[in-house]
Amino acid sequence: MKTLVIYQLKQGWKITGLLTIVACVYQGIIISLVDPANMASIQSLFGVMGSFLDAFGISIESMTSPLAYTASTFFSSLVQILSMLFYLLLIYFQIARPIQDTSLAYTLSTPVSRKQWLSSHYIALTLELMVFYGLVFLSGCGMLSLKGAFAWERYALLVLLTGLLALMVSFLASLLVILFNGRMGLAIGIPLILLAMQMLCGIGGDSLQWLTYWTPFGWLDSVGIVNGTSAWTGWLLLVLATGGLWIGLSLWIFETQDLIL
Amino acid sequence: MNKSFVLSDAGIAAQHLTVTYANHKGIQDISFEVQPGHVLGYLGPNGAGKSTTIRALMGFVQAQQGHCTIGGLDCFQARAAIMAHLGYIPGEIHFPAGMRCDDFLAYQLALRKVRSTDRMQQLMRQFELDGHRKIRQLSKGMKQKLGIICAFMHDPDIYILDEPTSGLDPLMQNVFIDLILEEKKRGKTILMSSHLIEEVEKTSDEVVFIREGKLVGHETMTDLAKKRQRIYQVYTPDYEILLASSFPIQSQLENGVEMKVSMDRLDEWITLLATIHVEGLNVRQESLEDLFLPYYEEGRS
Repeated sequence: MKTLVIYQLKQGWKITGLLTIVACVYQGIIISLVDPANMASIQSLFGVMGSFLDAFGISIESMTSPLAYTASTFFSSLVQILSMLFYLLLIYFQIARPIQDTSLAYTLSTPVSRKQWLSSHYIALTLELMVFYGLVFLSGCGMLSLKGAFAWERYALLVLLTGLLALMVSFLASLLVILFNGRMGLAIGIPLILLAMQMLCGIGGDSLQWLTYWTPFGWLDSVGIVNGTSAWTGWLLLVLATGGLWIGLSLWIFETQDLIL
Repeated sequence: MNKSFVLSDAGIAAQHLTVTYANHKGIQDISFEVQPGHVLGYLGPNGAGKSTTIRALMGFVQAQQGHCTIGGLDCFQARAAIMAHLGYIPGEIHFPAGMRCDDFLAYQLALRKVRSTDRMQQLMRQFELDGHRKIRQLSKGMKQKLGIICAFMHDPDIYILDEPTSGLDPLMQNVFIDLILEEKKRGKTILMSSHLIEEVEKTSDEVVFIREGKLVGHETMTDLAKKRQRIYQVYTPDYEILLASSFPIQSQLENGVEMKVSMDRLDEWITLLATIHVEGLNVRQESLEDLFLPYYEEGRS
């Protein structure tokens, strides 16, 4: 198993490095714009973008502190878009391509079970997302500390829950790849649709708020988490249970599936 | 449940094996057995079902009816246990991207928990493969060599080889045949699918022929040798007399005919030749290709 996991990590280390750097730089730029002594100026800066911000879940009213501002901007839809790009690429290189190009035949012609191979993908994916969000957290802490004292434990909680959400959606995308024998169409499409539904909620106002219940991206109140006003325990259990369900289903399907290798 | 098995059990068996795909038929009611220490040649035209049979043996697809076993273990249920004792060359060579040859081989050895690289190094020298080259830079023939080394380097008891010499030059084909004969002497069990009848002829103990998903022929090489007749090329301006005779005609030549004559009719044939003007006469033994070509031609028609 260790050999498999190391191999899977090697498949994705360049993507992990590149997109993690992009995310950290992006977050750094966003945080660098804020002046804690003059939050009104950042509100007016974002105010000119008008309803465009609603699509990305960015709320000007919640920009009351550098941490809340970071939660509202970077941790609304933006980090989910970046991490989606990240894990979809990893899923393609780690499981879709080996099935599509039949190179998986070599791995499965060794005493490696299908369950072990797919599990190694999930382990590698989890580790890579941990690196991604871990470095986002560390770089964010560095930048936020330059702006003054902040509730780092609330920031850590936000990063953790955002990362778990991304992980759960990545497991869903992995399940779709396995279900459709290596094809990426729905694995890309379904997460994008779920994210688009969240963005529509923002644009549509009250009339489309019902969409929030149908997309996991609508379940996470990033500003509420850093402000301590959001109940997240039930949400966390739901995300963990759903992620476990996707893993279990994909392992079961893959075990009995015909592979045209 | 993992179960180890010893070399003496290392046979391959398919019983009434049927694999059906959604869009088209795969194989139907295929039964054969490869005794431990024997080589079975698996022949058939394109699309006959050879690769489907091999996929079933490798546990990649599950049979709708019948079953197949290796070493007494079910190929689909116990595939991981079987793979510890098996070397495989797929029909289409696709390696994981972004690796060097030696890195890929080391990765395969690590998955099999084999520490010694002696046999790997020996095979790389034998097949003249530079381990430092990147896989994506390799030609088709070089990739085939890499596939051969990958299948043989861990010294398994059983080999399943799907068109193993595809893309190899004649020299390397001979190296491969020598390798098969050496493994056969060591008591390994081999199932080899091939389009090269000569290669099968040199290595196999038995031959199975499959066409349109069904088994249409199963012979031992001993029986085939007995069935072989002599083929005579007779050059004569009176070839129409030969064409009208009761002797089987293989083909018509520019100035004559090629005909098959069994030993019991030789006297009758010589009497016929005495009635015509013969300008030239060649004789050869019927080859395996001569025996199996009708199977391919029937498939086409």
